[in-house]
Amino acid sequence: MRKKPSGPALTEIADATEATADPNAGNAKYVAAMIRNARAIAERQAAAGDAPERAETAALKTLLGADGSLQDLNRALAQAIRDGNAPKGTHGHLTAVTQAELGESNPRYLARLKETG
Amino acid sequence: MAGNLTSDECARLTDWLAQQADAPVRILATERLSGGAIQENHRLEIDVAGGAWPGRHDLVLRRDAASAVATSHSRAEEFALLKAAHTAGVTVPAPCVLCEDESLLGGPFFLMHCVAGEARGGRLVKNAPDAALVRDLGANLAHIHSITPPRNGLGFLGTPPTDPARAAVAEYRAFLDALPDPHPAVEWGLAWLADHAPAPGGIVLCHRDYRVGNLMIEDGKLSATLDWEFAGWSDPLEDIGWFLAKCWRFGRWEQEAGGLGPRDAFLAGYEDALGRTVDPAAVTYWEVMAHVRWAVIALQQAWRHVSGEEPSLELALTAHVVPELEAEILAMTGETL
Repeated sequence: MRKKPSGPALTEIADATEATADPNAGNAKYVAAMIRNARAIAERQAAAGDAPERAETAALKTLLGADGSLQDLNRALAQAIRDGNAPKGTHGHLTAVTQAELGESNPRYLARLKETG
Repeated sequence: MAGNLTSDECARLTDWLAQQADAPVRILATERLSGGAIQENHRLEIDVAGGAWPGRHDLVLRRDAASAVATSHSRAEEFALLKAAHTAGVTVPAPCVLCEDESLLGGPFFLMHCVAGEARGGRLVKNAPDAALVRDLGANLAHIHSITPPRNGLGFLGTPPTDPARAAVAEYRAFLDALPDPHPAVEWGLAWLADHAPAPGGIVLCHRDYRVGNLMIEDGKLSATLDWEFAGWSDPLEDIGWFLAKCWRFGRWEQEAGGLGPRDAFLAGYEDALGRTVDPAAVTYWEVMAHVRWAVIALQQAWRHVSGEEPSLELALTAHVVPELEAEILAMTGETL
């Protein structure tokens, strides 16, 4: 499940930051890099649409043998893990979901991770 | 209380310094230093005509910023930590004097010597790998860990935990419970940590943010250990795991000691200075803990933005570091708990 803020909420804070940024500030380059990064993440999320979260929901239903919203299913999985009842396949599921999110938040990190094993 | 020191503040400070030094004092220059949303740092150049500290001094005045939150140590507590560390041979800016009289600057402050150097991890990892430097960073950490409870002047750190690993797991679970979204990958890491906790060892003073970024380096040598606001009694391996964790290598993954040099040199410096060895398996455990802790803190920081408490692009982006941490947690823990 995408970390918040995501998508339009991320673009919104990037736009608000840009509107009030002082180009002469000592950290202007850092702020500009943050704005670019936030927009790039939001763009990758928009390009992927709701496909990753639909796939995650379907995988959770299979894993847990239960129905519910993405948030409810993730809450049930988190509780099962904490209770020592993580269903078989939990690690593989979490790895797939995390890699999909990493592909949106930092694709270079993901590529490097795959390269270095 | 924010911004530069006013002329009134400088006048009151001059009088107070003269009393402390028992000699006439002149403030030659002041400058607000960058960084520090919670604390303000001001450079203060003074000249003392005789008394206990004759001559010119390049100092830093540290006080709470306007947006100070009550979660970190107070200036008086930080001053006590710096004094204890300085006495133990830790490389820190030498602490000078504490003022708790709020009539001077509106809040407590202390003075320490100004230290030159570069702390930014992104810059430091561009230098050639330096085994001698990371060896010194290991030895410096061992000096911090030579401070053990109970200790006069550090009573504010509270009762030492008997089992820091399990206490941390319980604390981070409670932090997650306070957030609206579930985070099953972080829960996976916490379950692994609960199942694999090594037997608790001795309890020492831990810095609890000892990493590249909080260590000032000048000409290839450590010049200052900064940011003591999270310091507390804990397992010494917590600091070692935090320092070595992949998430604090600033992208230079193959240099496992903070991106600056080899792991072995860091550990050798630590072990030689402390006079005992550390268990590599227990270090790995605390590296997993480091990723989990940073993930939980990152989620809390992002929530400060999302909840509207403190809108900030920097806080918002912290959420998107979490998938990196989750990927590392899952890779380190393996397929079964």
